[in-house]
Amino acid sequence: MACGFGACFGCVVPLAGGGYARTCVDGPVMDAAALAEVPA
Amino acid sequence: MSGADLAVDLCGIELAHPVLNGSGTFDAIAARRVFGDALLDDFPFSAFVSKTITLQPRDGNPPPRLYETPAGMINSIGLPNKGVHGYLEHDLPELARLPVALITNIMGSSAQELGELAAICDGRGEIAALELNVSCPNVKTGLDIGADPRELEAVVSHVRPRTTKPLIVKLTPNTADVPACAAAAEAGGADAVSLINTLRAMAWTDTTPARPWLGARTGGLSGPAVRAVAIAQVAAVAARVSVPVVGMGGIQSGRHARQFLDAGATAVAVGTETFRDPAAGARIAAELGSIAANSGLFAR
Repeated sequence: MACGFGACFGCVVPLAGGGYARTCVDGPVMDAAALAEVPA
Repeated sequence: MSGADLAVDLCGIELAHPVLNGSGTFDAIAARRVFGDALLDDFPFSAFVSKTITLQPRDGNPPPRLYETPAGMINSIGLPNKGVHGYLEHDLPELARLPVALITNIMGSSAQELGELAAICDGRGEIAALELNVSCPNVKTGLDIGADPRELEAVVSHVRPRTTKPLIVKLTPNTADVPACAAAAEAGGADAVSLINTLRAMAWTDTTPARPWLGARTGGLSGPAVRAVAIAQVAAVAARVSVPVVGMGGIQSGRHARQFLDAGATAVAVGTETFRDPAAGARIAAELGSIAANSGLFAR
Protein backbone atom coordinates (compact mmCIF):
# COMPACT_ATOMS: atom_id res chain seq x y z
CA MET A 1 0.00 0.00 0.00
CA ALA A 2 1.50 3.34 -0.98
CA CYS A 3 -0.72 6.18 0.24
CA GLY A 4 -3.32 4.60 2.54
CA PHE A 5 -6.05 7.18 1.87
CA GLY A 6 -7.52 6.36 -1.50
CA ALA A 7 -5.22 8.37 -3.73
CA CYS A 8 -2.80 5.94 -5.38
CA PHE A 9 -5.09 3.03 -6.40
CA GLY A 10 -2.30 0.62 -5.55
CA CYS A 11 -4.25 -1.67 -3.17
CA VAL A 12 -7.23 -2.59 -5.34
CA VAL A 13 -9.05 -5.93 -5.40
CA PRO A 14 -11.25 -7.09 -8.32
CA LEU A 15 -15.03 -6.91 -7.81
CA ALA A 16 -17.46 -9.64 -8.84
CA GLY A 17 -19.37 -7.15 -11.01
CA GLY A 18 -16.21 -5.83 -12.71
CA GLY A 19 -13.93 -2.98 -11.79
CA TYR A 20 -11.95 -2.66 -8.58
CA ALA A 21 -12.36 -1.57 -4.94
CA ARG A 22 -9.61 0.10 -2.92
CA THR A 23 -8.72 -1.93 0.16
CA CYS A 24 -7.70 1.18 2.12
CA VAL A 25 -10.90 3.22 1.82
CA ASP A 26 -13.52 0.74 0.54
CA GLY A 27 -12.27 -1.96 2.99
CA PRO A 28 -10.33 -3.43 4.61
CA VAL A 29 -13.44 -5.46 5.63
CA MET A 30 -15.60 -6.17 2.56
CA ASP A 31 -18.63 -8.28 1.71
CA ALA A 32 -17.12 -11.49 0.33
CA ALA A 33 -19.95 -11.80 -2.20
CA ALA A 34 -18.95 -8.49 -3.74
CA LEU A 35 -15.41 -9.69 -4.51
CA ALA A 36 -14.38 -11.52 -7.68
CA GLU A 37 -12.31 -13.93 -5.58
CA VAL A 38 -11.85 -14.48 -1.87
CA PRO A 39 -8.27 -15.15 -0.77
CA ALA A 40 -7.88 -18.53 0.96
CA MET B 1 7.78 29.63 4.57
CA SER B 2 10.97 31.54 5.29
CA GLY B 3 11.85 34.90 3.83
CA ALA B 4 13.15 34.18 0.35
CA ASP B 5 10.87 34.85 -2.63
CA LEU B 6 10.53 31.54 -4.42
CA ALA B 7 7.96 32.65 -7.02
CA VAL B 8 8.50 31.34 -10.53
CA ASP B 9 6.75 31.76 -13.86
CA LEU B 10 6.06 28.46 -15.61
CA CYS B 11 5.01 29.26 -19.18
CA GLY B 12 2.75 32.06 -18.02
CA ILE B 13 1.48 30.39 -14.83
CA GLU B 14 2.56 32.29 -11.73
CA LEU B 15 3.68 29.83 -9.06
CA ALA B 16 4.23 30.90 -5.43
CA HIS B 17 7.09 28.39 -5.23
CA PRO B 18 8.56 25.84 -7.64
CA VAL B 19 7.17 22.63 -6.07
CA LEU B 20 4.38 20.79 -7.95
CA ASN B 21 3.07 17.25 -7.56
CA GLY B 22 3.88 14.57 -10.09
CA SER B 23 0.82 13.47 -12.07
CA GLY B 24 -1.01 10.54 -10.49
CA THR B 25 0.80 10.66 -7.16
CA PHE B 26 -1.51 13.00 -5.25
CA ASP B 27 -5.30 12.90 -5.35
CA ALA B 28 -6.49 16.29 -4.12
CA ILE B 29 -10.10 15.10 -3.84
CA ALA B 30 -9.20 12.02 -1.76
CA ALA B 31 -6.78 14.10 0.32
CA ARG B 32 -9.44 16.70 1.04
CA ARG B 33 -11.81 13.96 2.19
CA VAL B 34 -9.16 12.78 4.67
CA PHE B 35 -7.49 16.01 5.74
CA GLY B 36 -10.50 18.36 5.41
CA ASP B 37 -10.45 22.02 4.50
CA ALA B 38 -7.05 22.42 6.17
CA LEU B 39 -5.75 21.10 2.87
CA LEU B 40 -7.16 24.14 1.08
CA ASP B 41 -5.64 26.57 3.61
CA ASP B 42 -2.15 25.13 3.29
CA PHE B 43 -2.09 23.30 -0.03
CA PRO B 44 1.26 21.46 -0.32
CA PHE B 45 1.90 22.32 -3.98
CA SER B 46 2.06 25.57 -5.97
CA ALA B 47 -0.04 24.04 -8.76
CA PHE B 48 -1.99 20.82 -8.91
CA VAL B 49 -1.29 18.29 -11.67
CA SER B 50 -4.20 15.89 -12.20
CA LYS B 51 -4.00 12.16 -12.73
CA THR B 52 -3.83 11.17 -16.37
CA ILE B 53 -7.21 11.61 -18.09
CA THR B 54 -8.13 9.59 -21.19
CA LEU B 55 -11.03 9.87 -23.65
CA GLN B 56 -12.76 6.73 -22.35
CA PRO B 57 -13.00 5.63 -18.70
CA ARG B 58 -10.38 3.10 -17.58
CA ASP B 59 -10.51 0.58 -14.70
CA GLY B 60 -6.72 0.32 -14.47
CA ASN B 61 -4.49 -2.77 -14.42
CA PRO B 62 -5.12 -6.08 -12.63
CA PRO B 63 -3.44 -6.30 -9.20
CA PRO B 64 -0.88 -6.59 -7.75
CA ARG B 65 -0.07 -3.03 -8.78
CA LEU B 66 2.86 -2.19 -6.49
CA TYR B 67 6.26 -3.67 -5.68
CA GLU B 68 8.81 -2.22 -3.26
CA THR B 69 12.44 -1.98 -4.34
CA PRO B 70 15.54 -0.74 -2.54
CA ALA B 71 14.89 3.04 -2.22
CA GLY B 72 11.91 2.98 -4.53
CA MET B 73 8.81 1.32 -5.85
CA ILE B 74 7.46 -0.12 -9.08
CA ASN B 75 3.88 0.72 -9.94
CA SER B 76 1.57 -0.52 -12.65
CA ILE B 77 -1.64 1.27 -11.67
CA GLY B 78 -2.75 1.57 -15.30
CA LEU B 79 -4.21 5.08 -15.26
CA PRO B 80 -7.70 4.40 -13.85
CA ASN B 81 -9.90 7.44 -14.50
CA LYS B 82 -13.48 8.43 -15.26
CA GLY B 83 -12.74 9.47 -18.84
CA VAL B 84 -12.57 13.10 -19.88
CA HIS B 85 -16.32 13.73 -19.69
CA GLY B 86 -16.56 12.19 -16.21
CA TYR B 87 -13.53 14.23 -15.17
CA LEU B 88 -14.97 17.51 -16.43
CA GLU B 89 -18.39 16.83 -14.88
CA HIS B 90 -17.43 15.34 -11.50
CA ASP B 91 -13.82 16.20 -10.66
CA LEU B 92 -13.24 19.60 -12.22
CA PRO B 93 -15.74 21.50 -10.00
CA GLU B 94 -13.94 20.14 -6.90
CA LEU B 95 -10.46 20.74 -8.29
CA ALA B 96 -11.43 24.30 -9.23
CA ARG B 97 -11.85 25.03 -5.51
CA LEU B 98 -8.15 24.37 -4.86
CA PRO B 99 -6.21 27.56 -4.10
CA VAL B 100 -3.66 26.83 -6.87
CA ALA B 101 -3.61 26.58 -10.66
CA LEU B 102 -4.80 23.30 -12.17
CA ILE B 103 -2.74 21.44 -14.77
CA THR B 104 -4.66 18.60 -16.42
CA ASN B 105 -2.65 15.61 -17.62
CA ILE B 106 -4.05 13.90 -20.73
CA MET B 107 -3.07 10.77 -22.64
CA GLY B 108 -4.14 9.23 -25.92
CA SER B 109 -2.84 6.40 -28.08
CA SER B 110 -2.68 8.62 -31.16
CA ALA B 111 -2.23 12.25 -32.13
CA GLN B 112 -5.94 12.37 -32.97
CA GLU B 113 -6.97 11.21 -29.50
CA LEU B 114 -4.66 13.68 -27.78
CA GLY B 115 -5.87 16.47 -30.08
CA GLU B 116 -9.49 15.64 -29.27
CA LEU B 117 -8.75 15.67 -25.54
CA ALA B 118 -6.97 19.01 -25.81
CA ALA B 119 -9.88 20.50 -27.74
CA ILE B 120 -12.42 19.21 -25.19
CA CYS B 121 -10.42 20.73 -22.31
CA ASP B 122 -9.73 24.00 -24.14
CA GLY B 123 -13.06 25.62 -23.28
CA ARG B 124 -12.70 25.05 -19.54
CA GLY B 125 -11.31 28.11 -17.81
CA GLU B 126 -10.64 26.14 -14.62
CA ILE B 127 -7.73 24.43 -16.42
CA ALA B 128 -4.56 26.56 -16.51
CA ALA B 129 -2.44 24.23 -18.66
CA LEU B 130 -2.33 20.77 -20.21
CA GLU B 131 0.37 18.20 -19.63
CA LEU B 132 0.66 15.57 -22.39
CA ASN B 133 1.46 12.06 -21.20
CA VAL B 134 3.25 10.60 -24.22
CA SER B 135 4.32 7.39 -22.47
CA CYS B 136 1.54 5.51 -24.22
CA PRO B 137 2.19 2.84 -26.84
CA ASN B 138 1.22 3.72 -30.38
CA VAL B 139 -1.49 1.19 -31.26
CA LYS B 140 0.19 0.48 -34.61
CA THR B 141 3.89 0.33 -33.74
CA GLY B 142 3.73 -0.67 -30.05
CA LEU B 143 6.42 1.92 -29.31
CA ASP B 144 5.73 4.74 -26.87
CA ILE B 145 4.60 7.86 -28.74
CA GLY B 146 7.16 9.90 -26.82
CA ALA B 147 10.08 7.55 -27.50
CA ASP B 148 10.59 8.59 -31.11
CA PRO B 149 11.50 12.24 -31.78
CA ARG B 150 9.79 12.37 -35.20
CA GLU B 151 6.54 10.87 -33.94
CA LEU B 152 6.61 13.08 -30.85
CA GLU B 153 7.05 16.24 -32.93
CA ALA B 154 4.16 15.17 -35.17
CA VAL B 155 1.91 14.52 -32.14
CA VAL B 156 2.71 17.82 -30.43
CA SER B 157 2.27 19.70 -33.74
CA HIS B 158 -1.16 18.09 -34.10
CA VAL B 159 -2.25 19.04 -30.56
CA ARG B 160 -0.77 22.56 -30.55
CA PRO B 161 -3.40 24.37 -32.69
CA ARG B 162 -6.27 22.63 -30.86
CA THR B 163 -5.81 24.49 -27.58
CA THR B 164 -4.79 27.96 -26.46
CA LYS B 165 -3.58 26.60 -23.12
CA PRO B 166 0.12 26.14 -22.37
CA LEU B 167 1.28 22.63 -23.32
CA ILE B 168 3.72 20.79 -21.08
CA VAL B 169 5.07 17.60 -22.61
CA LYS B 170 5.90 14.89 -20.05
CA LEU B 171 8.86 13.11 -21.59
CA THR B 172 9.53 9.40 -21.26
CA PRO B 173 12.94 8.36 -19.92
CA ASN B 174 12.62 4.98 -21.66
CA THR B 175 14.27 5.98 -24.91
CA ALA B 176 17.74 6.31 -26.37
CA ASP B 177 17.97 10.09 -26.72
CA VAL B 178 15.83 12.07 -24.27
CA PRO B 179 17.25 15.50 -25.23
CA ALA B 180 16.36 14.78 -28.88
CA CYS B 181 12.78 14.04 -27.78
CA ALA B 182 12.73 17.27 -25.74
CA ALA B 183 13.91 19.23 -28.79
CA ALA B 184 11.22 17.52 -30.88
CA ALA B 185 8.54 18.50 -28.35
CA GLU B 186 9.80 22.09 -28.43
CA ALA B 187 9.80 22.11 -32.25
CA GLY B 188 6.22 20.82 -32.19
CA GLY B 189 5.14 23.77 -30.07
CA ALA B 190 5.52 22.64 -26.43
CA ASP B 191 5.63 25.51 -23.93
CA ALA B 192 7.51 23.38 -21.39
CA VAL B 193 8.73 19.84 -20.86
CA SER B 194 8.56 17.74 -17.69
CA LEU B 195 10.69 14.74 -16.76
CA ILE B 196 11.33 12.07 -15.75
CA ASN B 197 8.40 9.71 -15.95
CA THR B 198 9.02 6.32 -14.33
CA LEU B 199 11.70 3.96 -15.60
CA ARG B 200 10.31 0.73 -17.07
CA ALA B 201 10.88 -2.00 -14.51
CA MET B 202 9.92 -5.55 -13.56
CA ALA B 203 10.05 -7.92 -10.58
CA TRP B 204 9.47 -11.69 -10.32
CA THR B 205 7.97 -13.70 -7.50
CA ASP B 206 10.08 -16.18 -5.49
CA THR B 207 7.50 -18.92 -6.13
CA THR B 208 7.91 -22.06 -8.26
CA PRO B 209 6.99 -21.58 -10.97
CA ALA B 210 8.02 -17.93 -10.82
CA ARG B 211 5.77 -15.33 -12.38
CA PRO B 212 5.92 -11.56 -12.85
CA TRP B 213 4.99 -9.92 -9.54
CA LEU B 214 2.84 -7.22 -11.12
CA GLY B 215 -0.51 -8.04 -12.70
CA ALA B 216 0.50 -6.08 -15.78
CA ARG B 217 3.96 -7.79 -15.80
CA THR B 218 5.95 -4.55 -16.07
CA GLY B 219 5.62 -1.21 -14.32
CA GLY B 220 7.52 2.00 -13.65
CA LEU B 221 10.27 2.56 -11.09
CA SER B 222 10.16 5.75 -9.00
CA GLY B 223 11.52 7.11 -5.75
CA PRO B 224 15.04 7.93 -4.55
CA ALA B 225 16.38 5.02 -6.63
CA VAL B 226 15.87 7.04 -9.83
CA ARG B 227 17.02 10.46 -8.61
CA ALA B 228 20.56 10.45 -10.03
CA VAL B 229 19.23 9.28 -13.42
CA ALA B 230 16.59 12.01 -13.33
CA ILE B 231 19.09 14.77 -12.57
CA ALA B 232 21.31 13.66 -15.46
CA GLN B 233 18.35 13.68 -17.87
CA VAL B 234 17.10 17.07 -16.60
CA ALA B 235 20.58 18.59 -17.05
CA ALA B 236 20.88 17.20 -20.58
CA VAL B 237 17.40 18.40 -21.57
CA ALA B 238 17.80 21.85 -20.01
CA ALA B 239 21.02 22.29 -21.99
CA ARG B 240 19.22 21.39 -25.21
CA VAL B 241 15.91 23.33 -25.13
CA SER B 242 14.97 26.91 -24.37
CA VAL B 243 11.50 26.17 -22.93
CA PRO B 244 11.18 25.70 -19.15
CA VAL B 245 11.86 22.27 -17.66
CA VAL B 246 9.91 20.71 -14.78
CA GLY B 247 12.27 18.26 -13.10
CA MET B 248 11.23 15.28 -11.01
CA GLY B 249 12.43 11.88 -9.88
CA GLY B 250 13.03 10.86 -6.28
CA ILE B 251 12.91 14.34 -4.72
CA GLN B 252 12.50 14.02 -0.95
CA SER B 253 13.91 17.30 0.39
CA GLY B 254 14.67 20.92 -0.42
CA ARG B 255 18.27 19.89 -0.96
CA HIS B 256 17.22 17.42 -3.62
CA ALA B 257 14.92 20.00 -5.23
CA ARG B 258 17.80 22.44 -5.39
CA GLN B 259 19.92 19.92 -7.29
CA PHE B 260 17.23 19.77 -10.00
CA LEU B 261 17.02 23.59 -10.11
CA ASP B 262 20.80 23.86 -10.34
CA ALA B 263 20.70 21.29 -13.18
CA GLY B 264 18.48 23.71 -15.11
CA ALA B 265 14.89 23.02 -14.02
CA THR B 266 12.51 25.97 -13.57
CA ALA B 267 10.22 24.00 -11.29
CA VAL B 268 10.22 20.56 -9.67
CA ALA B 269 7.63 17.92 -8.89
CA VAL B 270 7.32 15.52 -5.99
CA GLY B 271 5.66 12.13 -6.34
CA THR B 272 6.66 9.01 -4.46
CA GLU B 273 7.70 11.01 -1.38
CA THR B 274 4.10 12.16 -0.90
CA PHE B 275 3.11 8.53 -0.27
CA ARG B 276 5.39 8.62 2.77
CA ASP B 277 4.47 12.18 3.76
CA PRO B 278 1.34 13.76 2.21
CA ALA B 279 2.58 17.22 3.25
CA ALA B 280 5.98 16.70 1.59
CA GLY B 281 5.38 19.42 -1.02
CA ALA B 282 5.01 22.15 1.62
CA ARG B 283 7.97 20.85 3.61
CA ILE B 284 10.21 20.74 0.54
CA ALA B 285 9.16 24.28 -0.47
CA ALA B 286 9.96 25.51 3.05
CA GLU B 287 13.34 23.78 2.97
CA LEU B 288 14.01 25.35 -0.41
CA GLY B 289 13.14 28.73 1.15
CA SER B 290 15.78 28.24 3.84
CA ILE B 291 18.35 27.18 1.26
CA ALA B 292 17.52 30.20 -0.91
CA ALA B 293 17.85 32.58 2.03
CA ASN B 294 21.38 31.33 2.63
CA SER B 295 22.58 31.04 -0.96
CA GLY B 296 22.39 32.70 -4.33
CA LEU B 297 19.47 30.48 -5.34
CA PHE B 298 16.51 32.64 -6.44
CA ALA B 299 18.57 35.82 -5.93
CA ARG B 300 17.10 38.47 -8.20
